[in-house]
Amino acid sequence: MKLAYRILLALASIGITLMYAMAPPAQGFREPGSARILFFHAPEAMLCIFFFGWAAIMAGRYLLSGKKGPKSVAFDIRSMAANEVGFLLCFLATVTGMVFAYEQWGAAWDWDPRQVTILIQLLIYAAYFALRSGFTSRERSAANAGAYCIFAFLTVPFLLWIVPRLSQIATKHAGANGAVVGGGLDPTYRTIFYSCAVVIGLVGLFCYKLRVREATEAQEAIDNEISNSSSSDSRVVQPVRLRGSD
Amino acid sequence: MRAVFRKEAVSELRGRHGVVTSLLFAFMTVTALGVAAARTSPTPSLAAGMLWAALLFAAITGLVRTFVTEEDQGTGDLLRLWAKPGAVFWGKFLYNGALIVLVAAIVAPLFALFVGVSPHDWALAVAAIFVGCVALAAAISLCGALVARAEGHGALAGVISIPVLLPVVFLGVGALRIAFGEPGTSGWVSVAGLVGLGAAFVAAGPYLFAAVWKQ
Repeated sequence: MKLAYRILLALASIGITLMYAMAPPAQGFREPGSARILFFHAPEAMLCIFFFGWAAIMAGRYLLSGKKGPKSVAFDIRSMAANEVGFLLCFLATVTGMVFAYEQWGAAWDWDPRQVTILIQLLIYAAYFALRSGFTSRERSAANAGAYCIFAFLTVPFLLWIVPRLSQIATKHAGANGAVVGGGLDPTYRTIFYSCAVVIGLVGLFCYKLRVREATEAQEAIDNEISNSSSSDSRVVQPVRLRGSD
Repeated sequence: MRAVFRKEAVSELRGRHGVVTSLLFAFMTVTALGVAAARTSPTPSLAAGMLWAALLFAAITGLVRTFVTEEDQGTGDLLRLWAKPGAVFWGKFLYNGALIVLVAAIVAPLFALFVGVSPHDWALAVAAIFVGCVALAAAISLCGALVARAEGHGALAGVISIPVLLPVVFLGVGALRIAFGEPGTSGWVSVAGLVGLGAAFVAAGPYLFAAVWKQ
């Protein structure tokens, strides 16, 4: 089943690459051919919000867990993995956006509100990883990073939905928003766009599960090492009575 | 809550580290910006950005220390035993809010004098600065608590606070530039955004703080 899923995912990835290559040039753009990067750029930007949201939910469950015992490390691992995948998607959305901006607007970085807000988003989640690595205690690291993860997610609606839509802020993305959200894509583009979104989402999910498994195994290895070292009392030097000492 | 606030205020009156550090830092930032913009008249957008940059760095310098000092001086554990997490957060947040509002009240007129800008819409400018300062205080209070027991907390405080505060600055600049005379009618929309963001920070702060404070 797992092998079949992986083969299907690989085939779907090849499929969307072919669809990307064969899609007709978009109309109404300065460089119609390069506008096809939208198939990857927009789904990455949308899906990173999903992963950041899931990370916040898992962080909340971690903080609420363990009222009568130790906290559930599994929730913390899921939160961290979701943040990693979300960060990767956010980074890819930024890079593909810069390529698009270079081709269409003549400059890779134009301080467009959308560019600024996604940059802030990247900085926030980079800070999450910095905070995570700032503690020697695993529990303290997980709890503090979890609280920061939830707090950071409060800014997402403001950064991605409210700020770029303020009437005083002129964004070059206004046309793109109308095309993607407002149903302005033609049927061919719409089909390819949603296919790409589904496949990128599945690849993200696959990466997330892989990371969770890897981190869980690493944690189990650490836990086993600790329990082995604490149970191997035979290696500890025991006090002995010397002959003739009494 | 009142006891924590009073403790912070009394400590401040004894040492005057927070107010003096924040004020000096903000004043030096304003001076540096004034030198950079000497004999030029900055646009409303640039002036708004300059003032918010000064307030942001002053806030980070002065406010993070309320929690960091507790851990450095070893009084954090006493506070954990003595007070409920909610009372500690609210007390520190109110103190930080009062401190940054005081700093802004002194720095903003100095900025207007040095850089040569003055608000066309006083109500909008005051509302944007006040609400922005409350949002800054709430976010920095929590960030300070999160990094207080981390290694290298001084640098980490800035690293985790600045990205979370950038949306506040973004909205604050949006309101202030219209207050400084840039054409536009949606300055109050930015203030409404600041109110929403500040309310979200203030509402979430005590719960998140309680989850990590007694670790």
